[in-house]
Amino acid sequence: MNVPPAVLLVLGVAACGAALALAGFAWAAATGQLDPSNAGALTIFDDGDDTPRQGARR
Amino acid sequence: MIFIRLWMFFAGVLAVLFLGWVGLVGAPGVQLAALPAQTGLRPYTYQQEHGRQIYIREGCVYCHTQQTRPPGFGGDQGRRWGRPSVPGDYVFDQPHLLGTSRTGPDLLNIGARQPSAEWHYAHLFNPRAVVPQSIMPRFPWLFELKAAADPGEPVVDAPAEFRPGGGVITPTREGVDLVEYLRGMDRTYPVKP
Amino acid sequence: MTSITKELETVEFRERLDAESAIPVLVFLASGVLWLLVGSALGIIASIKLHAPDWLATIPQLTFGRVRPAHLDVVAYGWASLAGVGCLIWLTSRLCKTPIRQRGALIASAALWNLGVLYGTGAVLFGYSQGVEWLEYPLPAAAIIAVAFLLFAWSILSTFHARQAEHLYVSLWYVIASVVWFPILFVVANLPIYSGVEHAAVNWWYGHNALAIWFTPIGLALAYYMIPKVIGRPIYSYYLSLLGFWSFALFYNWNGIHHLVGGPVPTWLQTISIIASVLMVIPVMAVAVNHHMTTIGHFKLLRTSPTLRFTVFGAMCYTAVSFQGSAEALRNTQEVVHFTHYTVGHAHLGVYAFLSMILFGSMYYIIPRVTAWDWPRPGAIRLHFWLAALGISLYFLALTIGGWLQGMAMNNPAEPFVNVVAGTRGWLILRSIGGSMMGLGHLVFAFLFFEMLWRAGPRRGASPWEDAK
Ligand code: HEC
Repeated sequence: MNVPPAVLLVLGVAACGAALALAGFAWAAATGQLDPSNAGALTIFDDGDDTPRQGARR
Repeated sequence: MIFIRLWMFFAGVLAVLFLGWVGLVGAPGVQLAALPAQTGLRPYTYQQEHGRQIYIREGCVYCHTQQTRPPGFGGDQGRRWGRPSVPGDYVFDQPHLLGTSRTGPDLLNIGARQPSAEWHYAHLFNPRAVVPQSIMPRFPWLFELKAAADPGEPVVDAPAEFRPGGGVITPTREGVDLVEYLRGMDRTYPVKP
Repeated sequence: MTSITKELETVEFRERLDAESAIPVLVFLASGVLWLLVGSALGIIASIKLHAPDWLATIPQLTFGRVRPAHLDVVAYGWASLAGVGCLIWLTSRLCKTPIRQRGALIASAALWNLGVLYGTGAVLFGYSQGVEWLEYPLPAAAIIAVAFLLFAWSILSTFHARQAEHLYVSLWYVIASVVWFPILFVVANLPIYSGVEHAAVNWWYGHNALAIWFTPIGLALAYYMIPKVIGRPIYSYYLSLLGFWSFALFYNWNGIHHLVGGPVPTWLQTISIIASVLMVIPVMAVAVNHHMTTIGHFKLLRTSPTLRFTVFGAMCYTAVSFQGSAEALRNTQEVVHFTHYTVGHAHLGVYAFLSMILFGSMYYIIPRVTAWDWPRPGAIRLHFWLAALGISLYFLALTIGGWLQGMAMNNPAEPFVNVVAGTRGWLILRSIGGSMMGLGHLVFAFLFFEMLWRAGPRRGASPWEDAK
């Protein structure tokens, strides 16, 4: 079977990309840069805009 | 936080777009550029190229494809729409007109299937005169109503209701060139490996 | 906690931010709503022509092959983009906790953008299309839109640069990424240097990416904000949203060539796009879990909040359209549905039922906050919702069933082609009915919108909504 060079190129690039992404993720997790708590999700609630608790529901 | 360092976010964002481009555009570009034109394929004549512009202008591509699928994939072969098309069949196409919709039949080999100019004129003037259940638009602005045809000029076989006060209907230059383009659509030559 | 963060958390500060974005936001939203009306009219005309081909048949500008692309371009570059930009301006200012920057550039952007859409659409109708799906606009029109986009991106990135928020909320990742991605994509795809099969590859790299890196991020950014905000409950799993974002960015980019399955492009290329389309299940699951798990248990609120009603409908349709898309990309499915009306149904499930519904929902939230006035006529809002929701449902079902049958018939060579054509007629009529319902809904919405601008409603705070609880 002859594999077109472009296939090798794509697979190569994709493999490098995936490897890089994985390494990045592992590194970020290892150095505590990913915050597994849900704290970030709360940041949109600090502006006093009405939420059901404050009455108006829109 | 995404990553603590913001430049990493931007680098990642640019990298994914670039990777996608490499895979879907760059790499096939390299591979396709190496493929020669098919030997049976002739460049469009000036007239055909003009007809092609009319095809683009009227949006035929939104109802007609120009790509034939291989055996075992859809009904193209059974319908005798032509052998599976290959990249070398399209080297003179700019823009490409592969299409995504088959509200009407594939037209890659319409010239071989329907060589009659008269048929095309009658069909483009009013598809329902030829195929009663057709939903293809008519294109009356590619034709004109005249008292009499010039010598050698084709006359459209149109019912009297389209010719109030008599006279004949003949294709304009745009109509003639469009049909020349359609009649030239023929990729039935054998594929060079 | 420092005093500066304290100040950023006051109601007055937030109201100041909203007020400062008011003019650019309203200019973009109003343009979007006007294009929505134009786009709906074009869509309905195109739809009717498929079952009544002799209607308006002698006007060249209104032939199907021109109206159909004009419809797509107007709703994509006019409605969805302009309304999306309006919403993103407001959202960015809020999430960055700083007033929107470069407001002059934004006004110029809106003016240019409208000019580009007007010019481009006029060109398509009058016969100067480039002839490439999604890229019909002639180069000068595309160039105008590119400049308009860069002005908008400049404003967003300056605001981002000046941000006072310590945390970058998930919506902001999508916004920032898409303002970086889209101009590059748009310019590269418009370069007049491609031909043949390579052009087809560029065409669908662009066509699918327009959804992947511009329209979908708009919808997701807004949904990630609106759903938790209105319910008053944080996103279910913030960690998951991170996974969702990066897997989305990695895989969605590679989807385009599933539009050419079975065609003359290299097989490995089709395969790669099919694989990537299936991998989309990962980001979609992440987003789905986050949106739906946040909503669950609060469905009662859909009755009182139009924002939530539209946005949750849109978020559900995002899940649906994405799973459908992954299944649709498979070779076996493509063999049947590729060239049929089924695909058109799928496209509308995405751009309408997902994106447009979220845009409507967000506009119901944003406009009262930037104008400090409230919506009049809760009944009309409900009418808008039901016309849109039932209209798109009918539209989608008709084309999904009709398109599938069309594909099955087309793949059977013993079935004469005219029978395939005739078999779609009833479904196309149903589609016209669904489309007209959506169009009616848009008229109701536009009426409400312009009433809002004339301040026909109650002053904010003295709203009938509070009493209606
Ligand atoms: C609304 C969709 C639509 C558009 C737009 C359209 N067609 Fe058609 N076309 C059809 C349908 C449906 C048929 C099959 C019925 C018939 O033969 O009329 C067809 C059939 C044809 C055929 C005959 C094919 C065959 O195998 O017999 C030709 C040739 C053709 N069209 C050319 C064109 C050209 C050229 C244009 C643009 C100027 C065009 N069509 C635009 C729908 C369309």
